[in-house]
Amino acid sequence: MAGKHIREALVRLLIGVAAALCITGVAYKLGFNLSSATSVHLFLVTVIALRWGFLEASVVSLLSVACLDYFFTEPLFQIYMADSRDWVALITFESVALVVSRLSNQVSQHARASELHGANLQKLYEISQGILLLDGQEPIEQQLGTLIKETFAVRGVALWNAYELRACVLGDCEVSEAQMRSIYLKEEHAGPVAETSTSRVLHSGTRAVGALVLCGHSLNDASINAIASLTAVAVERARSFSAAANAEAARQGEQLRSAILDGLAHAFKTPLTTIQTCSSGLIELDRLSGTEKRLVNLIDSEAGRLNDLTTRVLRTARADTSTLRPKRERLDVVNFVEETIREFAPQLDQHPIVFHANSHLKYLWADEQLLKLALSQIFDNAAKYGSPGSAITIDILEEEAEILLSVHNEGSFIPEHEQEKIFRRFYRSPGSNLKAPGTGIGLSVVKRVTESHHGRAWVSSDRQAGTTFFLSLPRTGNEEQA
Amino acid sequence: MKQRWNVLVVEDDAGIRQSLFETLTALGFVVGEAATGEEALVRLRMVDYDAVLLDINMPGMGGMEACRQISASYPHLPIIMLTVRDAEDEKVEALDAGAGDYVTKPFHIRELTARLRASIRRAQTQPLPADAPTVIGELKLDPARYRVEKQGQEIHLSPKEFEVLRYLMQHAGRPVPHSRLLTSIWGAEYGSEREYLRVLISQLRKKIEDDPARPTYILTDSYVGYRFREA
Repeated sequence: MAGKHIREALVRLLIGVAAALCITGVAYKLGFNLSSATSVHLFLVTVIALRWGFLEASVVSLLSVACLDYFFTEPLFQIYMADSRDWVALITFESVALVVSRLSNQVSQHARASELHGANLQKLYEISQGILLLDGQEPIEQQLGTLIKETFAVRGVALWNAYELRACVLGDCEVSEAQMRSIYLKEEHAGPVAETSTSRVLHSGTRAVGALVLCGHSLNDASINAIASLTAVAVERARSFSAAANAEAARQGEQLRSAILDGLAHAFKTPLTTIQTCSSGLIELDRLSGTEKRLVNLIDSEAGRLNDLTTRVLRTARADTSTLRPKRERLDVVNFVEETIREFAPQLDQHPIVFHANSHLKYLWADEQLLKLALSQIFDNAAKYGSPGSAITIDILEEEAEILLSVHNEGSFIPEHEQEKIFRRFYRSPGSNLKAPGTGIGLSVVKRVTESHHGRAWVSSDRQAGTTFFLSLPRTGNEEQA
Repeated sequence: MKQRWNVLVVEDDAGIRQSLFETLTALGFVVGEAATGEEALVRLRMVDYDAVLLDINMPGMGGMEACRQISASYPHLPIIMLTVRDAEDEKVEALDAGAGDYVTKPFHIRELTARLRASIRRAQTQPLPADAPTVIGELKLDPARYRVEKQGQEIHLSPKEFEVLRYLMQHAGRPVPHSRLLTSIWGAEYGSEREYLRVLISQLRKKIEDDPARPTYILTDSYVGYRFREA
């Protein structure tokens, strides 16, 4: 590289010298006086300064002074000047030549820099366009690397994606995955990992999302920083794309399962209706002997149980799939809870119910059906898992911004690591199958219902005290109008 | 003398239809069968029925439309819809379409026949004048004197409570959707203010029920409305 530069500079110098000598020769032949010859030389020096640079222009200007002295000042053909005015003329020529060279050299350097800047901007623009067109289905690193490498004509690109823990090295770039990871982990723009290479930590906001190494490039810091920012944006964008795609896939999976449950439950209803019509018809006709009657009663009660189960699955599966849009209305909280208790008390398997209500409470703005569904799920849970015959305690508490409903039962214990999982769809605690039948949907419905009201659902559990489910619902401005 | 009532069962599922045919026949009803709403309309033109059991989900015109057409052509014929749970909107729609009552599948024959008999009896008795006293259980409501008594003791009700009680008692045994109760007591623009009703029913229960937590007069039809017990 350096040798080539020196060679080029020498060639330019030789051309400059030859040009100066030529001009001198021609001017002498044509009989120019000192002032005309000086102006022709000044023109040459200015052109060289603009075209090539200060060094070449200064060397040629010195040669010009020598030539002018030799051929155009008295005494001729001697490096000597008798007249002091000639001295002044030549010194002025040299000074002007140097100043003009310096200025024109600066102008051309500026022009080159802005040209380069413009080109870089153009390339950055191309990259940002390319980033928008990246294929979200394919690994992002390969695509990004190729894009940078081709747009900026660098020798090699290495990229480390911290989200996917994936590295990609393209072209000629001697950097290992471990090195890139350490650049990312140290979160500092380390010095060159190899000669003529630059590394950058990719930041999205304040968070590091990866590392970028550019090898064999001639880019300035500003461009490299811009490339790094764009790359970070692309990595972040790809991640949110894949997160959205995953969420969509999970949602579709759940929707499918719920749809199957819904379909099955519906399909069960018809034969169940026939069975129960027959069994209850036989009971009603009352023509059976003792054993027959007992057997038919058994069929009837079991058909009833199967029906309860399918109803529950159906109800929860539906609340689960449909996008819940609460139809809110004004609810008197205490009244509502009392009514729900009254409705579900017969299904609570002999558990006495204790209800404490804070009497200051008045209204809540909520969807009655959905809230009743959520509350009944929690009652159901308390009855299924609570110690047989123990009380179920229901409290309403008024917090500053929320209304808190709690349902407490004795006996069941949910370890802390399970407490969040039980609200997930189709999740059932290990061992809960042995205690009570269930689908793993109920509590996920509770969560969805409360969230659709901008509230929260959670559980606290203690081996001695038992388990308490909480529903918090925000008190909205509307309730105050009541 | 036990009267043999004529009932038309409209149901697309053959199993349910057959089981209803067998049991209802054995229990003394004369049962006609139809698999679709269209077939039901044809049969109704040929036979005088006392009541129709109508499935809500059927191929063809469907139960809801059949209900609308039957009640338009035979306004005094009681229609009992067979619905499934968790289709509360459908139940209310069916009641609005002219059904007198509904039964949720799967049902007990005892419940179904009780509803059937009550509906037929209501349809066959002459309606009393609007201000005639109504007596159900220990409760007596006398619209003319604006008075409610329980076991001979007067119960003091607010004007709105009285109106609601009167409406429910005059429709005893039948489900009354929230919206119908609201619009007939408060007016057409109040159809969705269910909270008014809930508060008012709760106050009424405190005054007329022995144990307001376990009501025996004003029963709740989940998600649909209220039903005053059968006379």
